[in-house]
Amino acid sequence: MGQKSGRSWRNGLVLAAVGGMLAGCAGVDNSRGTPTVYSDPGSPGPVQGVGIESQDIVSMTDQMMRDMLSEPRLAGRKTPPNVIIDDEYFSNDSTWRADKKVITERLRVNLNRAAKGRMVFIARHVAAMVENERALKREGRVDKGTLSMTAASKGGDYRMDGHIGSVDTLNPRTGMKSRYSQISFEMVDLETGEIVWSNIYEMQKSGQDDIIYR
Amino acid sequence: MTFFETRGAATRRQGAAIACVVVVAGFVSGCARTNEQAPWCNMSAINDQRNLVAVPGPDGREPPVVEVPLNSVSMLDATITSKVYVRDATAKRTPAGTVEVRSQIANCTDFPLQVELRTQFMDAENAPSEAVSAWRRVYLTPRSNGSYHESSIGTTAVKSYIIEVREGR
Repeated sequence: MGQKSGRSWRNGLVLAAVGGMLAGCAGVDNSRGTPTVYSDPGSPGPVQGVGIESQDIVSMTDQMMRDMLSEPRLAGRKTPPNVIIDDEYFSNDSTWRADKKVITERLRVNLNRAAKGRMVFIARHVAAMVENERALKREGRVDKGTLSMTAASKGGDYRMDGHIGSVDTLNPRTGMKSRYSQISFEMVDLETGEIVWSNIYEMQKSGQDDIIYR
Repeated sequence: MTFFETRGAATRRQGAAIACVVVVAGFVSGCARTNEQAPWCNMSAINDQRNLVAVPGPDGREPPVVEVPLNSVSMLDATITSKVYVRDATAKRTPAGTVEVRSQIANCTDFPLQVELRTQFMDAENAPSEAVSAWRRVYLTPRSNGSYHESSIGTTAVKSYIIEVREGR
């Protein structure tokens, strides 16, 4: 009787262990992933402050792009308009001392890829490059290439302008800093001066740490 | 008084006391419901409405995963599952042909809350028709409603969507 109960006890243990292993194989491994230096640009990173950061730039440019594509005057015309997006008229008067080109370039690249012909983008930021090549072709110093020559390069229909501003408040006793940042975007008709589209991205952040932005 | 008379009296007193407690509790709970700020969220009923389904993939086969059905909102973050109520999710075409989705979220708590939402637009074969949108932050004051909207990049290719919610960080 003692031997039988001992054997059935051991058998029970073995069955329980096997069952546990099988259950472990079938279930989700709900544990953290391997640590890495990479982080999602669309989410807050390990260093956070009160300024404009990657997740703000990603969110801001995505919102502006989708909003522009929903504007019939920009993206719903039979003849796609010629659009210029660069930082020439994108001013930064805020306390955020970083490269404003990261905003305009991300917006131009993603909008160009997403528009799929609904808008035509003019590279006015490299106009000198285009004019130089056109001059070389016309002087006969290089051949005409594979595309047909045109009387002039494309003129713009709409151009983007914008402004980055901020309002800072600081508690000198606690070191707590709060910053309201406002980034405005406009699309201006280059013939009439009419603002055909505009939008604002704003945020307020508060924190204790003093983060350096470059 | 005999033993039985004493027992009877005690039982009657106990019964009266229990009845009083029940009545008072009824009044108190009624007062609490009436005076509590709106919205008041019945989380059990909200959880009962959650319905996970197996959404067929582009190949038409049933996948080994259950998730929220298309054209609805998926809560990614367990920390806010019992804090917010997603009222609805609707979609309409814009004049430019893109799809605009809208959703209303109620903050069921007495504290300010931040949530982030993004939308994945899908084509007729339940495959992503474009890159998922960026996270958009919605600020919810205590016991208030907030609204979220997002537009697609594509036009005719967009047939359905999934909105994802997480706590703002």
